[in-house]
Amino acid sequence: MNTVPPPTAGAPGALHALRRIARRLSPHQTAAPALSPGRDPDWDLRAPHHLWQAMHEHLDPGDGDEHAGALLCGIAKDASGNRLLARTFLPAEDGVDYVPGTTGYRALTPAFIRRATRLAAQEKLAYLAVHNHGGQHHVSFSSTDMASHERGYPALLDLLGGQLVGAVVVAGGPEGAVAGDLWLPGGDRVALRRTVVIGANTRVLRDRPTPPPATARAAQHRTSRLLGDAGVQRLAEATIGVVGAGGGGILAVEYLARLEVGHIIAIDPERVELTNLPRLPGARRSDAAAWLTAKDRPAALQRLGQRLSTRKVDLARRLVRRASSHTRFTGLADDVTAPGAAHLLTTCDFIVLAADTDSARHLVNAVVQQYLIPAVQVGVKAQPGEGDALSDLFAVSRPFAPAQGCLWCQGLIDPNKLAVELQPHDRRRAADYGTTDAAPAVVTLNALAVGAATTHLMLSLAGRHHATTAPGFRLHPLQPQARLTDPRRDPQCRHCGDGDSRLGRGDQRSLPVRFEGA
Amino acid sequence: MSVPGEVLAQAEAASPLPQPWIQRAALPAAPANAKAEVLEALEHVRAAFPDLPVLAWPDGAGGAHVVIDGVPLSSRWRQASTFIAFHLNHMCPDADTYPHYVRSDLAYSDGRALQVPITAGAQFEEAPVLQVSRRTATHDPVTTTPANKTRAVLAWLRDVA
Repeated sequence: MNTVPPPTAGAPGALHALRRIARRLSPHQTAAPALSPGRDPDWDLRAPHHLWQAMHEHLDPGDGDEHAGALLCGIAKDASGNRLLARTFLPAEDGVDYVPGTTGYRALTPAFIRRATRLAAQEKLAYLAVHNHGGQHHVSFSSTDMASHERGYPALLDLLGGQLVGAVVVAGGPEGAVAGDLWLPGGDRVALRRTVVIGANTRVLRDRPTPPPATARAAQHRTSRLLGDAGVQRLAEATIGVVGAGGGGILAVEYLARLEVGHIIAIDPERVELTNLPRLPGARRSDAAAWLTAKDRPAALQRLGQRLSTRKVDLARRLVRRASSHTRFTGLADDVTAPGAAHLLTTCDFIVLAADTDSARHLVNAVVQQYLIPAVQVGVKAQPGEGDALSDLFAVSRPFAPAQGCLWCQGLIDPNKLAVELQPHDRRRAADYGTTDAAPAVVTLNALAVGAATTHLMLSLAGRHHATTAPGFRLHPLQPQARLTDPRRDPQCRHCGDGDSRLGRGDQRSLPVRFEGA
Repeated sequence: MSVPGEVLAQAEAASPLPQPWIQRAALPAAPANAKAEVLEALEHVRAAFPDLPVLAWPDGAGGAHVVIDGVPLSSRWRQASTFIAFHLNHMCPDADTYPHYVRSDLAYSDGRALQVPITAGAQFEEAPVLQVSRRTATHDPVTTTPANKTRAVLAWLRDVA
């Protein structure tokens, strides 16, 4: 994030040039953007699709009756808001755990509540009692419900010693209405703002229908023909993280800006060079400081040129400004494993992973599972054949969502490469002997992968996918052939599995970031 | 992560470790200068080699550089013992422990030349070393701990290399 403001219209040319040089030389910042003063953070609930579906199958088996259970949730808090992250659903068995009540229709038994809250306390999770009402698009707690909350939740707060407790009521099935009554440690009581369910689509549920969206502007008319005015509005409210602003990431930034998403956060530590110009649309030779960095220049001039060349995140900023006056941009010229960068990613609605290091994959995978954020990974791979021929070439777009098969489950993170990449710089090349050849990279292949990825993102946020899980897409131009690849999930996975995994842990667990100041 | 004085004295007696390592390992270390997972892995390494000096110092990114001194070798080698060094990075335990480093003058008893995966000309924390590049085929953070991986590399050096 630059500290030097952009040049104003009409500034003298020399002043403009000085400001540009100062910006290129200024150290990067990794501070998260500050919340506008005076705004109270809201509380949202986020849930993986499979858990939400399983909860509704228990609550609404088709008998029209009332059923119940409990959700145990991790918590994420930052200046932009607070999130409950659903990681476990405990069904309450009718007649055993959920029985006729003394003041209301039915009630959870003390034994069930004790079992659930004990588990919540052990795991340091929030406890939410859940039940269903009739109806479709509106839901609220009855006066009997509220009275039972007021009788019981102050004591539960004490029992859980600092963990949030509350209740959620649903109606109308997995895509219906959701309301929540949250009791915070410290005595505040707030209503749940919205529920976000993450599957192939990212669905937003509230306790009542949202007002009709504003009609899309004329410039977005053709987009709204595909996504609807509501879909265009969802994009305009979304924050998208783009990890890597190289050949793939810069295209993602361009496409997302043209879609007029609300906010793009781009993270990349590198600068434009002559060798990557062919893959950076919008980059100029002056961005690579070509007059200094060309091969025939003395080494000292080349080093100076490297310091003056444009940071990739600043190139991304320029593209966004050119494409859209409605999209905010935050650029971090740092590795995604820096604490500030990783923290920013936890505030995103969707992440595009366009960096090709295993450490970036590991970090983003952890954010996705821990904070319940959907993502899509893009890549291009060439398999060498005989001589200088290629045996295979493919461009891939791989969606991955919480609890739907993470990058570790799919064998896409190499523990050995994690060891090599994080070696001190002077040892890295020796540690990676035999594997340091640069992979082939071409802008047209990047466009295939990124086009598929951003199309998936757009359809997901607008709720337009037909399937409940989104397969990966692999295009093999040499054959030619297109394949769909379904993600597989290991239930024992340390990162997205059912046991003691990262899934939905939020702020409770540390992310695999390097220490501040490193 | 600071090392007790008697351990340092033991290390100096076992074999002449490079002075920069001994100086770095002796620096007082702040409690929060390595991630909890790295400190836990380091304790497992100390428990796995209870009779040998284990030196460690932070890498500045949440990880640690580790040296185990005085590891006995087999008769395949001219030297009776070596140190073994490695890097625990901040993505431990998901990252493999790789590569390892041993004394730069290590030589076969029968005089044959060193071969890959043992390579000369490497550096570890400003000291010349041999690099031993044994990758883990299937890394499991629960079983392929840094302690177990180091034991496996040493067993390979003693019996197979």
